[in-house]
Amino acid sequence: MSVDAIQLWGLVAVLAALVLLIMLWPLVKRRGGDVAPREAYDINVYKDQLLEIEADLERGLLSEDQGEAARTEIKRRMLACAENSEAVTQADPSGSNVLLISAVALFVPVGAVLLYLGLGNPGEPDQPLAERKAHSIAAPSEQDTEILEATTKLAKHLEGNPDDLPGWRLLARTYLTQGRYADSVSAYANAYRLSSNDQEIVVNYAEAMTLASDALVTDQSHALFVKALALDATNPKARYYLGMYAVQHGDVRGAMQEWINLAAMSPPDAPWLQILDQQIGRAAKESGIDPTTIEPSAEAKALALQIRDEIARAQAEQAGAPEPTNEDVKAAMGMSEGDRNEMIRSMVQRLADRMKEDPTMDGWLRLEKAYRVLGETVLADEAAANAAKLR
Amino acid sequence: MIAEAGHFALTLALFVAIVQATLPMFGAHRGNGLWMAMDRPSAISQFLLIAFSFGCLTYSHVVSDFTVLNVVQNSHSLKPMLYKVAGVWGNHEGSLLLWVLILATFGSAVAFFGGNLPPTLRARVLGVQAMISIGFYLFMLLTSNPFERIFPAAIDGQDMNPLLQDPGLAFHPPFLYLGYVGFSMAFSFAIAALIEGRVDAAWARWVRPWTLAAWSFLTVGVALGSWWAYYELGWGGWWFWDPVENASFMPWLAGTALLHSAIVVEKRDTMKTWTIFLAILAFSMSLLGTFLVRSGVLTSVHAFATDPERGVFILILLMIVIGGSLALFAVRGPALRSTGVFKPISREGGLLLNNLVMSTGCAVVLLGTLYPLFLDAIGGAKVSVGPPFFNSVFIPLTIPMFMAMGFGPVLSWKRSDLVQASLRLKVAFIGTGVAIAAAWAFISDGPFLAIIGLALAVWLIISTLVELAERIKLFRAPLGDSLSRLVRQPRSSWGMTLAHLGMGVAIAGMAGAGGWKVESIQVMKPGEKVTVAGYEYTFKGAREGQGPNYTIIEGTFTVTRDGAEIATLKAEKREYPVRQMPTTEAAIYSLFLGDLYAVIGDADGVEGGYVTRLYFNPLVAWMWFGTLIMVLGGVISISDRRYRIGAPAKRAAKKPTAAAAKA
Repeated sequence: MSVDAIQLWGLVAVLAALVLLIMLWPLVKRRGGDVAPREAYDINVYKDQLLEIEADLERGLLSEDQGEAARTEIKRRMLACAENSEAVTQADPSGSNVLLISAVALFVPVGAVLLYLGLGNPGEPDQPLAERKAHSIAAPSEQDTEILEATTKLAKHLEGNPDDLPGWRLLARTYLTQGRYADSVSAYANAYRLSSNDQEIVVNYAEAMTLASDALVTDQSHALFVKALALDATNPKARYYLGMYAVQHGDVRGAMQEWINLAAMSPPDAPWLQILDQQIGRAAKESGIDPTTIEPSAEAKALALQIRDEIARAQAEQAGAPEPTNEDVKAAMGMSEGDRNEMIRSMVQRLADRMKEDPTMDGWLRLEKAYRVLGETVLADEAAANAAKLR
Repeated sequence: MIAEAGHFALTLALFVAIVQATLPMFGAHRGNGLWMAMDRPSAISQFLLIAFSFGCLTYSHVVSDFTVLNVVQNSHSLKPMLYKVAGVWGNHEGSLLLWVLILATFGSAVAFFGGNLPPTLRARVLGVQAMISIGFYLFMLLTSNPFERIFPAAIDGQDMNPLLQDPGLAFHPPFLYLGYVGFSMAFSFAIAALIEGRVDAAWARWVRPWTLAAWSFLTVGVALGSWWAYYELGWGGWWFWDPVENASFMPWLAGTALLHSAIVVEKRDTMKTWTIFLAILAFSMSLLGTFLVRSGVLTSVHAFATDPERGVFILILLMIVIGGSLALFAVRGPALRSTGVFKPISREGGLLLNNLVMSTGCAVVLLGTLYPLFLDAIGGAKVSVGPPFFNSVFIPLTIPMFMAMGFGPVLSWKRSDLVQASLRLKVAFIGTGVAIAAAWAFISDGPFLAIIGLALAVWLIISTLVELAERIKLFRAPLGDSLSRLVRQPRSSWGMTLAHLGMGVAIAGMAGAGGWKVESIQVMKPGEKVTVAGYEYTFKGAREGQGPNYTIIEGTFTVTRDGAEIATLKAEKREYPVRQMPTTEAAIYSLFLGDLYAVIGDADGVEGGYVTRLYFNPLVAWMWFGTLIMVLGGVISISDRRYRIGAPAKRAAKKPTAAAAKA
């Protein structure tokens, strides 16, 4: 049993014991047997009513006649209630009490635990947001505070240097990985202000906006995705979200077309393909449109060929890097924070391993950037130094 | 762990309630004092468990635990802390937990303060309360569980309806529920009395403080709801006859009737069956109100729960509670014997008239609210029954009642004389005449009904004051004597005086705001001026900005009258991107005779132009001020000493100390 489950059952036992103690006390102590007869309670009230009439008479609110009539009425009530009194018996002092106590002591906690086991999730711990954020990166929390400190420092720095484009870009990405979408949006807004034609900034800005509004592609972010696509017709993220926009506006067929285009031009090992298939499948199920009837557009086919060539060329030089599109698309698909960060880490690790065997300046610089995002300043400085050596 | 512990506390409370609903009931039936004595500790246990459970849910909301479905659906990590907490009850599941928390609070209040109740009555009252609890616990655990979890945790929450992110709405439901659930006490007392077969003057006195408390809370709740509609919906109105508003108004009408008929039971030992019926009605209306809003059968701003499964459960629950209690009423009711008799023109007659109007009003509102639902359910046309229906049926109904309200308190019990009563109220007649003449002379336009309303308000206020003056023999005895009489007034008479006065003030507000509201809707450019009811509004321009989780258009107006500056109004329109919903924040400046009220809408395309709505709402604040006076009356009345007479001495002589402590 986990520590959490032990704590829970401990608390359950305390609650049940406390409740039984309170409930059974009168039974154990045999309290409650000696009570005044019912009519005594009524008569108490009527006596008070008689006093009230005296007070009203004294204040002159009732005439002597009215007072007398009211008194007669009340006295009649007193007589009436003496007639139909209920007897309250003293508890039977024999052993039947033990039976009752044990029945209640069994019924209440056992029933509650059984019902709870049927409905609840006893093994599941709480996951407060702050705690989740703290544990989201697999590394110990010392590093988390470092990341947070570095982020704060960077944000401070940018207050004084609002035109530091790489700074804004880094801050925006960091916020995005931390799930602080609204902050990421404002950081990207600054980056966008400084460089509105950088397709990476445009598309990530729009993605941050989308995530900030719960995966809803607003008109504003839609415009940006369109712009990103104009800057680079092969941008997968922009295509993916344009499909989302179509779905959210009821155009399921349009969305499927967009996604099928994207699927057609994606390399066969593209990490987003699986998610894309799921989305297409879901849309097909909802709309009843058979996805095989939708052909990729001519443009998409042309682009697909172009991409294939580029990949072939690039493969000779290098492969892999912390690929931004990959993890971010996944993030949008509801991948949990921990998984996402673990993925980034493993990709960074792969890059680092390769740099040890086959160092390139470009690779070290990319690694430096990745380490900064993760807040690993020492490693980042080391990578920067290695890059400088190769310059 | 916390969320799971809260869940367990809820299931444990269910089983405690099962014990509480059975053992004390059987105990009372068989005269077993020991079994009956289980009632108080069980009620207290229930309270502790539900309070713990509610605390757990609040914790989950505060720390944004997105493994709890309820938090995911109704919260957001960026939401201000006030609304994280208010979000606990700003949704279906959480509001039910609040409901049962209040139910358990009332139950434990009976356990603590019910020492002067006969043990059999108390055991039965708490037994009935526990039965209500069982129904609600089952409803929550089986269909609306606030502790439902989802794994893996959601990235963030879906936020709360922006209209509800408002201080007025954060505190409106708790008060409304305190009122609704408070009537469960009157209901439990009524059912317990039916089971016992005795409803007498003493019973009426025991149940009265609970009814008063429920009524006071409900009054605050209804007023808060209307105030929220006034400043948040941005149409300058304060009552829309919206089904949700009606849902809170119906129990208020029934509860007000119950308060008045219970006086007759207490003083004259008559009108018993009627009072029992009203107690059942008030609680039935409360249940209906809760479920109308929560089941989502209504399509309005309040309907944030929609689920047919719940609907069926709700129907069954309503049928058991209302049908069961009415069946018991049919069997036991006729056996209740009344001893007092009275003539139509008497205090009792006046109270009976109040009862008739209140319950007819309640029936009218019920009909108007449910008729469209029934028609819709049987596949008929979609109709909406709106203000025209309610205004033309409900308002004429209340006019004779407000007239009689002036007479009631000066009539004597049993039989009275209308002519003599009129003579005693001659000051009120003269005052009302003057008021009508003045209104006629100074306000040439406006509906006739508003003048009637104003006249009724003046009549009610003056006649209430005249009655008070009579009581303390003002001008007929030396001033010092009158003052000492004033101080020695029983608190319950203060309660009546204040409640009636408050009603008068509120009627004035309703008449003013309903009859003489001035509105002006237009596109304004910065610098433009519009005159509304003699107040000149200058549009200073608008700026657009960013709030914590919304964007703002803020328009600034300055208001002058005869060249003198009176106020600067800043009206906002907010757009919440997560929910893609706009809200308006009207700018309101209250003057003694009315409210200046400005709303800004969208930019109009024209360079710098914005749609603006400007209002002058005469006397509208009087309505809420009057309500406050009414509530004050209720609170003072609860503190009357006659509700604090102690328990009789225990019969056994073996406890001499207890006998000596007898009140």
